[in-house]
Amino acid sequence: MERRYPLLAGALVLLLLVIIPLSAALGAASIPPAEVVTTILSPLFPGTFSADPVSSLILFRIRLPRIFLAGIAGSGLALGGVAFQGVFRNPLAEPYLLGISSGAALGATLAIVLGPLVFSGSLWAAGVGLPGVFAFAGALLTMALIYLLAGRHRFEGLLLGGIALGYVFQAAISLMMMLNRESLDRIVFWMMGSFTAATWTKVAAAGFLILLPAVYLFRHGKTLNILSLGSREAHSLGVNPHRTGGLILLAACLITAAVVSVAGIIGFVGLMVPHILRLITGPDHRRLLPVSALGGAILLIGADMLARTVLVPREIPVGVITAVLGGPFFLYLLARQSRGGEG
Amino acid sequence: MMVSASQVTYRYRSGFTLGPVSADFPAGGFNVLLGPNGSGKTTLFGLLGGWIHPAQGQVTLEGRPLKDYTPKERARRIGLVPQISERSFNYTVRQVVEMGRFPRQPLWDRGKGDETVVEEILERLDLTAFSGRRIFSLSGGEYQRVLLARVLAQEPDVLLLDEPANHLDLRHQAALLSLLHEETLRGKTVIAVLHDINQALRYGQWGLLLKEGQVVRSGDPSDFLDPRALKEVFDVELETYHSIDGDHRFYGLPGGRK
Repeated sequence: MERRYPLLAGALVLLLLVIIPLSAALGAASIPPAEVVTTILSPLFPGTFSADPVSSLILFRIRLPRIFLAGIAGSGLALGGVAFQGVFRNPLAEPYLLGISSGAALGATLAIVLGPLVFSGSLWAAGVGLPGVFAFAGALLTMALIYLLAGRHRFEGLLLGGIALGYVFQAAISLMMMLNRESLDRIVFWMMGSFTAATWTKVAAAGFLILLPAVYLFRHGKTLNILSLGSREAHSLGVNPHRTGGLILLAACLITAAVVSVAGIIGFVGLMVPHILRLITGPDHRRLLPVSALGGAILLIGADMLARTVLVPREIPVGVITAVLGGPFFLYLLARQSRGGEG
Repeated sequence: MMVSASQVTYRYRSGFTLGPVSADFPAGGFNVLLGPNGSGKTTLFGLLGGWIHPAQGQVTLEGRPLKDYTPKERARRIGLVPQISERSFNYTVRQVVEMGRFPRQPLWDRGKGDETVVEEILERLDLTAFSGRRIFSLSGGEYQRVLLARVLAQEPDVLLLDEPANHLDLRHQAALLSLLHEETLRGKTVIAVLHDINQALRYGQWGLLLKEGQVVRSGDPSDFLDPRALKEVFDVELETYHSIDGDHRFYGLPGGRK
């Protein structure tokens, strides 16, 4: 296992370096991978590489922001998943557990339904999109609400509060969808996750929002190990499970909220990536966090590549891809585990 | 006094109240907490360990209120072997033992000499051959020893042990009790919840007998563990046996004869 870890990390870095140009090459207009590489490198070494202006436009304006956004979102969801699973001591926990997704979805739905009425042509949210801003606000408000109502003393309270509030929000969303059939497509598409509207502004916004909480999580790999032993043992080893565990959850929630607001709800990544990688690296969170960030990025870049190439010229929501591929794979893992494999 | 509780109380919403309890646990002593299920032993443990806070009164560690210690500071002084420990993730034995070093390490790095300490303790507890094993594959008793190794790696001055002999076979019970005795000789303070009256009698130098959240006896267990007190607290008539030289006394359960 000691030797396997650097090998795994190296393989993941390599895979990421391969999948970025590959994903950039594929699409409605295909650009040969070699040209992708020279085009990407041309601004850095203007004398050595030259770039075709059309390819350059497609790559820098459309595909690369999309790839980076997918990568950031994938890393964020996977990191959030690791944190949730560690703090809740449950390898089946996922970052949407506390109702963040439904809070964000409610925000986005409100923006989609009411946006055109209230903020016609508003500029202030132009780069990120009104649904994104509303989704982020919705996620934060949901977090605050659940914490105040149910979770100040117990993590179980957080969980149940999240689930209960999720149902309420889902009902509200369904009602709005029924009453606004003309917005149905946009709402459904948002709720299933998509990087269609990726811009560098979104990449920057998501990157900026995720950076600090991600650094916080990376610093607390060892703390997560201690927390994963349970609250009494964490206390006895010098970690206050409610304060420190709470801060770790907060960081994971902020990351998840940022991802949801730029990408919609993409299932399975936060659950699956940490779970699969834990089978290889073992549960030590110091190791699990970095490879999960890499694995999440690779998975979502790959899934988004499929989302926009499988049914050209139509696009499939990326959440559909992750669920269709992830669900059966996850069932396979569970079956293998219950037959006595390593957990 | 290493650990002192003065007039501490703790109240559960269900209505169960512990205390007020006052107790001075002598430093370097083998202290035992005794009492039937639900008598408040584990609650008192939580108060002494500092992970729950008394409603009234205070617990002090070397004269300083426990609540004034930072969590890490406290963890360098007081360690715990919990009663039941769920295993949520499949760490290796070595990883679990290494976690005992956490309160002595910087947030990110390892500490100096951690490896040596862990190695020595694995050796001492007969776990070297197990060090690469995954904890899901261990029996209850084996995992109990891993938790004991973890608390030793923590190098605290006070060892809290919640029914540490529970899952151990006879050989390892003997090994545990002599190891704890050794630790007291090195100046560590042991506070253990024990179910076995005879073990408490044999090893306990000082102890508390609890019933329904109240201390009913305290002192040297061989003084207060008489048939009357046991009847009063456990509601069972125990039979008393004496060793031939008359120096030791044992209690046995009454009831059917074969």
